[in-house]
Amino acid sequence: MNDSQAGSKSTARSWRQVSLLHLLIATLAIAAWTAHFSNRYQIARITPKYDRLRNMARELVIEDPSKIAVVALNYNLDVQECWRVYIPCGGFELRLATHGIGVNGPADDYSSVPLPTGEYEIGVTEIEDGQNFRIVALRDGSTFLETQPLSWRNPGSSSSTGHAGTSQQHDGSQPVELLRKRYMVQDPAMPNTWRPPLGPAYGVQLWIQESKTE
Amino acid sequence: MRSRAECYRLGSEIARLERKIGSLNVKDPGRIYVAAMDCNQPFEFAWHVYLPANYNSWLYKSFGQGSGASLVINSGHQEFIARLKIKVKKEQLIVVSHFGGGSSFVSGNAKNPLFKPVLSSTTDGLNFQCAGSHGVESFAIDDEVVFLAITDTNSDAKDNSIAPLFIYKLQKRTP
Repeated sequence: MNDSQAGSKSTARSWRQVSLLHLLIATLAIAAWTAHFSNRYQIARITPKYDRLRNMARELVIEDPSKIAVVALNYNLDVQECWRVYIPCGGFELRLATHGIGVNGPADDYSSVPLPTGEYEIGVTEIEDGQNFRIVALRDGSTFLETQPLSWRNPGSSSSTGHAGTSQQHDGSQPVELLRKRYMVQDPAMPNTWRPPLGPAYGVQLWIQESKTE
Repeated sequence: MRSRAECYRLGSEIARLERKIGSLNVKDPGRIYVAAMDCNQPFEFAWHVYLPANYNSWLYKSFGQGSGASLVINSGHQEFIARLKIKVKKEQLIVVSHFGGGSSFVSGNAKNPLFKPVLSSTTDGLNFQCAGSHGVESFAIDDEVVFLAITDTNSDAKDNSIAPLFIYKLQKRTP
């Protein structure tokens, strides 16, 4: 075997070796990308199901611990309305108004109580005790904020809006409304007919707001 | 690797949530599916419910003198957890329920035969017929879906003429 024959054989072998190595790398790369795309496809396929189940289960989702998280619950049938909340550090309070409740925005006159940091349930219920009618907010089932006996009664019909049953996070820069319930009023022109109030109304408004710092 | 971990996490979360609220496995989207959930309380009930699109119905709650019906309107299909609780509050028997997006209550007085059992949290002498209590049940849209019927054990005797002490049912609304 002369030098030129040995050189050409070695070149042919190294070409084959490189090509096999490339083939191996290409196979691994294709396998990795196939697995990646298969996983992405699977994630896209099951995410809507996950969201649907999570919404049905009414679970509180805290993705950013620096923000307030709220979900309306429907499983506590002992109170009229109930929410699971997460309150971050930063000084927030629960506010409750029973009159002067407009269609938008918070009422001017309200009672309030500081909200501790952490995760818990807030509920609200109306209590009729003899001649007294009061609105009570509860934290994990215990009275947390209570009105004085009110001069009016629940007339039996109202219109309500409130926080969604889907868990949401809020940065706290704006009030986080849990409930706005405005009681209907009797129509003076039509006896025994109730209609939504035109102006500020009696009712229950409950919201979370940053504590005043002054 | 990250997508694999995310895929695994979602799969485990779905399994956890399905253990918690059950899975209906809707095979025919034109039918109604119901599965009862365990509440661990004698007079508290919950169901995982699927209602097909364009299914409008009346939801009846009735016990003797106290009864009520609410209209359930569906444009798209709906899947949700329905809940019902029978309780005593100030000498009144009260039924509170959440169904789909709405909630309601009916009340009866202390003479109602269910008053004492609810007050003492005892189910002795009562027979409960609960939809989906043995797994997922499916119904045609024309079927009456009895979510809950409570009868007196003595008067049950497969006699359909005897009115239940309490009934909670869904019936297709006819135009």
